[in-house]
Amino acid sequence: MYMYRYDEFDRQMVRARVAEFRSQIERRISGALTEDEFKPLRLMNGLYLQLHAYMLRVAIPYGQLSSRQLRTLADIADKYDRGYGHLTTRQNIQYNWPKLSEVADILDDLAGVEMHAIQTSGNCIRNVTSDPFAGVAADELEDPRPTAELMRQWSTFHPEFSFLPRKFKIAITGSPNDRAAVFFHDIGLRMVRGANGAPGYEVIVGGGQGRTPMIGKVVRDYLPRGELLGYLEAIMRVYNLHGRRDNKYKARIKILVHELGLEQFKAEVEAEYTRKPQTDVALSEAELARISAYFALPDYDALPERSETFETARASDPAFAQWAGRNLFTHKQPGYAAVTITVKRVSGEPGDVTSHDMRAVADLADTYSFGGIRVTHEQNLVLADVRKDDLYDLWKGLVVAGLADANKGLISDIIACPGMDYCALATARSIPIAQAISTRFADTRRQEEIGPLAIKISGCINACGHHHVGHIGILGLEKAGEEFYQITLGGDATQTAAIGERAGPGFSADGVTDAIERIVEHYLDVRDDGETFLETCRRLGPETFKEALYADH
Amino acid sequence: MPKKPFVPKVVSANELHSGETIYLTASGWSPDIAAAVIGFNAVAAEGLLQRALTEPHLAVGPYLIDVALSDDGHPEPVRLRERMRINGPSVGALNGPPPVSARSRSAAA
Ligand code: SF4
Repeated sequence: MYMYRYDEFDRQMVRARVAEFRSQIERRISGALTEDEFKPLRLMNGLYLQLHAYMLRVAIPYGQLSSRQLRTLADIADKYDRGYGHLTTRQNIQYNWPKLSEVADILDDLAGVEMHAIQTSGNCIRNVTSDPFAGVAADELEDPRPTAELMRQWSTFHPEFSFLPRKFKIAITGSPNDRAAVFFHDIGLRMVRGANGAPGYEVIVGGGQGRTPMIGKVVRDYLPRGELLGYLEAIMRVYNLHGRRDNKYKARIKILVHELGLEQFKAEVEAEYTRKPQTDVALSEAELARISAYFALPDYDALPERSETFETARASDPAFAQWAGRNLFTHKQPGYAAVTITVKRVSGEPGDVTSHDMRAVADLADTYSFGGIRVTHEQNLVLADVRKDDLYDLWKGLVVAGLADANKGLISDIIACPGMDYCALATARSIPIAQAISTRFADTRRQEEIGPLAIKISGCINACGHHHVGHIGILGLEKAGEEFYQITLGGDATQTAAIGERAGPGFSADGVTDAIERIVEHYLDVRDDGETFLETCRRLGPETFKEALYADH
Repeated sequence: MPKKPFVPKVVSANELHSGETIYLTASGWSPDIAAAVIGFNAVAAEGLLQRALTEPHLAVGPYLIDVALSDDGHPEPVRLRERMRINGPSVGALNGPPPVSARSRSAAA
């Protein structure tokens, strides 16, 4: 397995943190600590209190797991929880039913496989996210993971960044085709090359979702690679100086960038960076080189790009062909493919994986993909390095495990936050809406006919379900004691970033699936040949759907 | 302007060990809202909340919720969120019944 290895420093820090939290939990249970005293401590350790139970969110740095780690996650689900976990939209996993007195034991088990729950909550720099195909994507300029890891090390336990005005999220992509939603993070980084061909970053600041969705703005077209940490610190200092601590709705950096204006914000960051430029550029380069060694490529076989085994299977087995047409991604190594295992079963809970699923995927990863697994922000799993010759066998294994849904990127591949079934902040449920839609559109031929369509559902304005950037976004609210759902159209999380527009008045829980169907039917009526939903929406404007949505209703 | 009629209230919280939804009763805490003691006016409701706050190591974050009375006089939450807290998640065959561990503990409390 080729991923970053925890170093001795991490090991000691994590063990010390678990021991400290264990004693804090004991003091809470004995009554020595009040909830007011305990709450910030538990949040620093990823422990939330939700509607009916605690929830523990486990960090999966940039979504990368080993099969050994995934098996431990499965064991934890069985031993301490209800046999499943939930993949989050930030490439983490959370458990919905831990007992307070067992949380330290869970953290100990996690530490045994070099995992923890740090930077998954609170007003700190959160777990850095990235492209699930990082390091293997054919369209990639450079592997973003060493930089993601560099930022993880820099931000973990950084004294200046533990008490920020608000939580702070960073994402990085190494590909011009953005699969990490870098325009919707506090800081987004795109790997680019400078005029002289030297590697560096485009720096995007002030994107975000929530109640005030904003598309991030480019503050630097090109930042030389070695200067990254110094420049990020300049951004953080400007934010720490101005960021509103008095009003949590105004405390995110997106509001600061918006209120200062891009030019002013840029000028302040550049002034700050000039005042205190990064002095250890060479050191930073060396550190990055050291980290990069941990992401060395696996031992690929030298293979032809075309696999006869794969082509034969595809020609003879239509179900396999359909899956292969949807769930494969182009690998940069000839003869290999990256595979998405969607966790979006018909009528299922998006992103919920049972311990059985986890063990099955861990076994398949060991057999076919160098023991590595990735979690995507779309709440799916990826096996990144599969020989094309092995794809048919892998698929048969997935069929046995019940994980062979051929719906990547289709209407049933829905992102949904936990919503009011679990979340204390929710105003409505999300999961039952996702279930109803995936049930209505269960027919895979119909899904194929509709083509790429991203539905994203949030159970409140905090937008953890990314509804603002759904091609169709659904936001659950409460009105007069009942759930109702607002629909937005035309959102886009990629390099052609857009925030969805409200379609009009909302729908009841019973009416929302019908509304989605009317939108889809209208799209099928008006689309040009080969045009995707998003393209039609852009060509005709979201208004085109209004009549279909609201006529006679 | 006529004064709005007072909406009866009960105190709810999360049980410390499991996080389970619990309600303040005449003698302690219960996962069963039917056992909850009802505040029929602002002073009574505030008194209940103050009593709840004296037991912070049993019940996390006590707060008042609006209730309506059923025909047989049992309190039923007005807000959707509170109705959800009574029954647990509406999804997931995996979820099973709410945990019972907290039940016995809070019954004993
Ligand atoms: S969007 Fe709202 S309901 Fe959904 S997980 Fe986030 S805070 Fe909870």
